[in-house]
Amino acid sequence: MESASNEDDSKSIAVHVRAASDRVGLVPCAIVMALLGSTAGDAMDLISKQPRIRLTIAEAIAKK
Amino acid sequence: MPLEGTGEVTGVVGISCGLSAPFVAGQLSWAFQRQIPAAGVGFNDLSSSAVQEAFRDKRLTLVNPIVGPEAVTGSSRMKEGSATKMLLERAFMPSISWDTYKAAHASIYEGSAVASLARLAGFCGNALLTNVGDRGASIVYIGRGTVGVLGLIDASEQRPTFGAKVDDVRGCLLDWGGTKYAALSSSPSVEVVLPSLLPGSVVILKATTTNEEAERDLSMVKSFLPASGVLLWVVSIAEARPSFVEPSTVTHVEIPTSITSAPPSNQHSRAALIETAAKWVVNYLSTTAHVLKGCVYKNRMTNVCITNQKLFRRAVGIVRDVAGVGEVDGWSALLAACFVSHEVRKYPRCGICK
Repeated sequence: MESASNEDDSKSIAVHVRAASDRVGLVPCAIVMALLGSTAGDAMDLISKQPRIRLTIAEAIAKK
Repeated sequence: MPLEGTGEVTGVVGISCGLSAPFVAGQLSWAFQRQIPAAGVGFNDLSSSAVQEAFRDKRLTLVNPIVGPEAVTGSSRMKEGSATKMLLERAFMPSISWDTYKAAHASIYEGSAVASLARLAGFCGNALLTNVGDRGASIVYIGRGTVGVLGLIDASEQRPTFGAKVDDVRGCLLDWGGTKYAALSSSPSVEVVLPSLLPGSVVILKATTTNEEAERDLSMVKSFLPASGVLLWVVSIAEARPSFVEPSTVTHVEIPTSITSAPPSNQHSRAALIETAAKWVVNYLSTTAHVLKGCVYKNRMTNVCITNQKLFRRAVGIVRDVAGVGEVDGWSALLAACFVSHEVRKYPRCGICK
């Protein structure tokens, strides 16, 4: 039973990630979240304000 | 490779730059189970292959050239794509030599074309930088035949590689070549794409044939462009030397004369070399434009689209390395970004979030 649940969860995650792949900026968002501990919404806001994603990441590293 | 007239498969060549594509591994596996000669072409370490045992015990032939580490961003589509093209051309066209490729490469990256292409790449980068909303300026490649198809391929690679929008980089074919490119007949034509371009867009016409044909193509392209605000640039490869356009908006790419003056029997080699040069041009422009847009951080394609398991693992690696966190935190941050919340904690048994 345990392994079946693991499989179900993994499939569910895979389906969700696949659906989310249509959204751009997922990786920069995850980097900002990992760096600053911010929520996904806040990280997305930060990225959308700066067209050069590289600079957003550099800013987040500086803030860390 | 079906035997003509019989439908019988006599051999399989599987090409996967990373040696990891399941649909390539499946076809190779199908071939060796039926004792059909099969070969795999790839550039990564054999350990990433799904059929590595078959390669190791020689049931499958492996062509695995070492082209160096993937230190340059987007190098699978660029370096390994070009290497695959050259390998196949060398296999089937003995008249083409490595030296001619070297000369064509030098004409783009070391010759007089460099400064001109760098200037054009700057315009392309500016076009993408205006593109922060739903829709903005675009880069459009236009070309004939296989050179046009290479523009379509490069444009199609921008979304998974850099997270680009569909309208960011477009490709248009001028000549369908009869039924040869019928599968591409639904791709947008210049009549549809060009009139709707927004100011700041860059249109690149790849002229690879005669001056007369280049002039006709240019007149046609101009007739569909908006009245102002769009830059039209001609990249002239081989003998086309258009004198009818503003010289500051033309790039001449020199191809070795030993090839351009080749006899008609060697025309396939000539076409192959022009294609490769055209591929290097569009690869350079699209990659530089996205670097200028800021989609690359320390040679990492930080805006990659997570469309399969390989790219998910690559994305975790980017988060881990750039943010300086561990593997588990990298996974968790990426999943939380995908879920737009910390809902990922609902899945404690999946082994990812522990």
